[in-house]
Amino acid sequence: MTAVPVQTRSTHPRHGISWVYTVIELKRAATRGVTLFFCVLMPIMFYLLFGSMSGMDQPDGRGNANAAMLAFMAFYGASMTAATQALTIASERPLGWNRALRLTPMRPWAYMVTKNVTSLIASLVSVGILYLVAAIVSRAHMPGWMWLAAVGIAMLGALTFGALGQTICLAIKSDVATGLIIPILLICCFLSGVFAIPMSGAFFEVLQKIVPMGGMVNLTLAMFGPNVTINDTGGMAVGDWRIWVNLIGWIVVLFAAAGLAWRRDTRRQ
Amino acid sequence: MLRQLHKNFGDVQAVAGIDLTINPGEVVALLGPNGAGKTTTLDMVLGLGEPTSGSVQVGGLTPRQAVDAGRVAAVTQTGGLLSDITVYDHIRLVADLFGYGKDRAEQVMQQSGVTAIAKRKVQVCSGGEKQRLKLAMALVSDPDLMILDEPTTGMDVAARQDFWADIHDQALGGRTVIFATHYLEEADEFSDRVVVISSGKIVADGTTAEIRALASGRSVQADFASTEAAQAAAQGLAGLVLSAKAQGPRLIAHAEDSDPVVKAVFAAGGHDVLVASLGLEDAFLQLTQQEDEA
Repeated sequence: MTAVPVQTRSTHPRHGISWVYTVIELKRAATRGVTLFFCVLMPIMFYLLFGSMSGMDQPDGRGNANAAMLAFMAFYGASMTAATQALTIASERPLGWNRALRLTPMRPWAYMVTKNVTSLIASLVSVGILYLVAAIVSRAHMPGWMWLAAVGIAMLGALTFGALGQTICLAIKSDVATGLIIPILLICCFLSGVFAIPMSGAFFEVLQKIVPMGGMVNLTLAMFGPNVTINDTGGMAVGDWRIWVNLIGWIVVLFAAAGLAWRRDTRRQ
Repeated sequence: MLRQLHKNFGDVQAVAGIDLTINPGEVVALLGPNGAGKTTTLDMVLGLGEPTSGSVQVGGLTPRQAVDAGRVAAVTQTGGLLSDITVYDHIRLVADLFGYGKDRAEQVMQQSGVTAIAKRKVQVCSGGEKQRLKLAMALVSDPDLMILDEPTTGMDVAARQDFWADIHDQALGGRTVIFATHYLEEADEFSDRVVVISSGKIVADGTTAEIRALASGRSVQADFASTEAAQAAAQGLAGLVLSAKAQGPRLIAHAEDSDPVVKAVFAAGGHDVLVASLGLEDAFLQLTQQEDEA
């Protein structure tokens, strides 16, 4: 039946994760201009900019303010990386890429898992590059375990904003989705105090604890000590329930929303 | 293979009862105007769409099982590629998903003539190169059934000829092929069997020679006193014509040889007789329009 002898094939077609696909996705992320600017350059620029302001070298709890800024920029970069990776879901749809994948043994859920795995790896790379710059500049001081804990918080950020991006991309039209994700993320940054711009008043104080990313800011500051604050944010203990409800709550809610949007979407196709 | 296939989109009936069996090794053209239901039908064969009613079997398997087993593959009309990755990456990915290694990717690249552009990103590929890449991706699993959905849309004549020449020489040897097209010459030139569909139904099914006969014949039209008389006359023409139909009191017949038909029509009381020669184009239009009006 065949014109050319076909080479032996493994008995296991991939229904799930393909590392070849993951590597291709990482290559794509590394060559996207938007990704590189928002996800790698911007955190480094902000870190160098805010970190060199006067007073940032002062000891503050277990480290200095410069180190807190470093941790902020780590989860900011990771969140942005995950969100822009989710954007590819919206841009691939009109290209018919999903249809192409459905003509292979790969399952639709595996596509979503691949996107999430890629976004976590890409986020780690973004944090890695930032840490490299920080190590060279050598202004941030905090114990070794806190450098690692900050990476953990950054991964929580990647999960949160990856899920948010996926929900938006699956639920609404792709051209609108593209324009929404980055502004939403930036608003979260301002409201949660990542950019260290003072937002005072009782209203913002409550909002800061509710918005996605607020939990990351508060946990980071809590690591430095229960009394450490920047512009009135912080001052909580590591075990404070408000921090963990925010962190875990948003991840659970957003992944549930993404799952629902995904199910509705696959049924429609 | 296809049994009483129906597909509705809301109130719109896109496929209205298609029964079709395609034998291994056949090259079948699915010919029809835009919106005839070609893509909808093929999507159901590929498991991309579920039939509203009826069933599809591919070599005794469901479409999904056939896709997983690599028994059926497709080259779609447009899209289905990522613009920012290379030709090689596309093929390597599909090979990996089917459980093959790099060597298989190299092999199909040679087979479909894309080795020279392997490192090129899709965004700088021409329309013809993209279709060739999609062909390579479809060949990875060495399918028994290959589906081509208007694969040459948007190509110029030369690119179209090249694409088909390649398909015949290397890619399709021995495979069953179904291709959708609205180019009559393409159906005529490259298929063994032509299935004409219109408004979601099969309006003609025959070898290319038979379809050519439809095309090379003449049409005979005549008015009758009443619808009943026209219908009686249409039945009376059996044996002389390829097809005969009454539309109200007007009789429309196709025949290889029109003279005996004209005699019979006069004998049956027809008047205002019109005899015209049919091109392939006319035959096609006539087939599809009759179905719309009926």
